[in-house]
Amino acid sequence: MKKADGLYYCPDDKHLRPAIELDRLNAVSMANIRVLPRKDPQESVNVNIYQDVEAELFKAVVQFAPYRYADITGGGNPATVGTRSVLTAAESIRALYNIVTENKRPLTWRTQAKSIMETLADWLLTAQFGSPTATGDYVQASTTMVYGAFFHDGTTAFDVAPITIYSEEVAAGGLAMILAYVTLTTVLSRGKYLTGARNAATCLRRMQCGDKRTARYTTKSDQGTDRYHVGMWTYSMTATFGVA
Amino acid sequence: MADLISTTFDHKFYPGDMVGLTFLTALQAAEGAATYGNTTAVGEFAQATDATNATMRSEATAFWTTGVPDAGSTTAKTGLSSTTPFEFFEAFRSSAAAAGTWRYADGAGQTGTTVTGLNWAKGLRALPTFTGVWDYLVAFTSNSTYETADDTAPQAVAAALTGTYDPTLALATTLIVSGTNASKNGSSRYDWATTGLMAEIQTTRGASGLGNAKAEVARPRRRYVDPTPRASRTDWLGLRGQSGLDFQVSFTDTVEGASRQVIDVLRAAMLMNAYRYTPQTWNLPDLT
Repeated sequence: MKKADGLYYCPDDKHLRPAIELDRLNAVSMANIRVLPRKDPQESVNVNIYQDVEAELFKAVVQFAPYRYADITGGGNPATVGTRSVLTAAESIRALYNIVTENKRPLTWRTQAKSIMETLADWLLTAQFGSPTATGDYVQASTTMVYGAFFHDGTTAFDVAPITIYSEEVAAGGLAMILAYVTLTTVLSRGKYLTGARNAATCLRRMQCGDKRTARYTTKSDQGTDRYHVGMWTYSMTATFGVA
Repeated sequence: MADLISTTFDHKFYPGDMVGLTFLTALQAAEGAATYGNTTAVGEFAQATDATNATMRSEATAFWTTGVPDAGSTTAKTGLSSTTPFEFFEAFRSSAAAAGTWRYADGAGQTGTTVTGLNWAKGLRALPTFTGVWDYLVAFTSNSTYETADDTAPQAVAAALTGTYDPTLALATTLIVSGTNASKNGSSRYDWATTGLMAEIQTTRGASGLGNAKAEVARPRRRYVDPTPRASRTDWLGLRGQSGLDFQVSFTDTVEGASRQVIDVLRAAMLMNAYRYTPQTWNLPDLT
């Protein structure tokens, strides 16, 4: 209650001052405190350490791979956008493998790295033509040109339009398979990763042999018939499917 | 169920695809010498394709070390080179017209002037003995076209991508390798994935630059400098994957048909490789 002197008192105990009165008295007592301006004011910054950013990179890989992008446009929590990506999965496995084998990061990191490696490697197998765990249109005969190739987003409606297969994805996917095979030694079925790698090598060899094709082969002259073995694997191949 | 009808090769050859060399090396280490391909003509092939792992690697490596000539020439070029730099080689094919030459990233035939920083960095990761190429790349100078004009307000700098190019931090997304502006950056963006991809070379040939790159990456950057609530947003360069030359992160890219600001997980994974090489490596203690 407010008395005639303008101060507030608790009606049950006049010796105690309520919070509003304490705030008021504190404000009055601090009136003479002056904050002097700094001659060269600096924007406040955090003390940044290198571990911070590596942890952020690690977290992004663990959280979002095999998706390549996470949208942060609005400033809120990141949300994955688009389709999953073979190259993102493969490069993520490679980065996680390096952390595991370097053996200089906390056990929690290394344990999580192995777990994510297995998840990503198993997903990669679902995106590989002719893999041990392939299903649907990814089941292809070993003599087909796409056998062993990884398709970049795992789309399954192959009869709609031609798809493009990149040798970089075949090779990076194959490397990821090998890294998973040598790292995930406790996975009883890890032999599937070695099989996946062998199949990728077969596909890569075929992409290295553009000169040996029956049609549309590499030549030494423009539209000629003089076959030319370049030695490097071709950048990409377009595959056309039809409904069986 | 869809059946494969046919395939068509593009008959183009990029240094960025040399990750295949790393793959085959790891495969040989895991299972020993083996042969891949077929001993007879199968599928779309008129001839056998089989080769040993070692043969596959030596053929691919020779393409970048010995090189191949342009159409009408007998002088071999290597493409991933300081003297004959190109983006890729396009071979002749039996079915359609082609250049039959080394080509730049921009322009038809040999009329262009640029290569892609990421493509070259991928090649150097697989071919770390190409130290001369790395020396060539870090000798590039800043292109005044992409530098910030004097007296530009901080708010305008943050909204742009301009700045002074320092190739020891990261490669630009586009590099000019021919013409009057040769050996300068051809864009106003750093590609931070290249720092991770070339770390194995840089740790021995330019460690201070690698340390400086890590220091720059370690600072959260304000996305905007303006008097609005969005000014509180900060980004890590490594998560964005690219930045302006003054480390700006306000840019957008077209992703899935829309203009967005995104975390690039692929580039983040590539940049992580930088933390495996000195300087600024460390041994974090186990927390469990």
